[in-house]
Amino acid sequence: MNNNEIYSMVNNITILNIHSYKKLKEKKVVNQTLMELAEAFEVYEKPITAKLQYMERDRFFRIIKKYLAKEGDIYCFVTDCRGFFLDIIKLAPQFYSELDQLIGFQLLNLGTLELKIEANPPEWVRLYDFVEEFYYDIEERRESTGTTIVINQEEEQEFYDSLQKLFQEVEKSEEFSS
Amino acid sequence: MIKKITVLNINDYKEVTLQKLSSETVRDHLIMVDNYHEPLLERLMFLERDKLFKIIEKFLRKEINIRNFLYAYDEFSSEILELRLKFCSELDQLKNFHLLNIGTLELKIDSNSSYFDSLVYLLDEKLGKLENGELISEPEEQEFYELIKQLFKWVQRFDE
Repeated sequence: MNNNEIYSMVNNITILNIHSYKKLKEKKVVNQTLMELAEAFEVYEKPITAKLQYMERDRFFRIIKKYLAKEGDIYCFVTDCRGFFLDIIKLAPQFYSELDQLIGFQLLNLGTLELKIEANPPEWVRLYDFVEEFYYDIEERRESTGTTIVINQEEEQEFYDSLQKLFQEVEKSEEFSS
Repeated sequence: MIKKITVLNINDYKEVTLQKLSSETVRDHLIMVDNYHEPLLERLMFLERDKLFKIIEKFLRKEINIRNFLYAYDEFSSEILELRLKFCSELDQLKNFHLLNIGTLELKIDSNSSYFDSLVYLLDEKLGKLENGELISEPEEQEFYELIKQLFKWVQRFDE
């Protein structure tokens, strides 16, 4: 059984309990600790951001395709990635503010509200994590050296080949799911 | 030991209410009642049970007769219906949330104890009789009094 078959059998979901979110938010107003901040990020913000990235995947795919087709160089690719990441960061607060609105609902007195978010396919997660890690690595180097982008030809070729492979995997899995 | 809960899927609620706008069928109506209105009503009644208990206690102390008792229960039920409308309008607001695009919102409601539900069922039955203009005889009233007394004991014993 391959990964896709396993994935289609086990439908992973992330469950956000809005009742816990409410408690966490109320506590934060009184006394916000680092642990609570980390908890809010891991339990609520991270899964929502991950789902938003996946929902906007077509834009991400276009950036990758442009680079793989050699229509833009690595500089252009890193700049496009930065634009994509920033757009997701801009989208996220809209969703958090909706979570905040839920806190005021009387319905919460009757029970527990849960938001079920389907987990993203593993192929996508691998591709996204790979690009993100590469991007932050390049950004770190740029900040420490002060130059635009520090990457040698050999390293770039290695990145190009790995990206191509991972993207092919995603395209195959997208076909599989449709 | 097993905690019973009713799960209301807000996505289904959205679909049914949208459908209702274009063509309200008897089936849609039944789905709404069984899946959303009924569990909300039952739970609200349970949450407001202290008010109901006060009415029952009055009847058991014989401060009010069966007729006044059932009318007081009717008034209590009307208040619960008004509360339910408020909650349903909150469900309607949830439908518009963007959050629904990234997942499914579920509202989990704990189910009431069967003793409480039996008590309410008995009261509804008797109130229905009264509203139909049927007379309640003295032996029947005595029998009802004893039943309420017994059921109320069980409800109090197993109250959450």
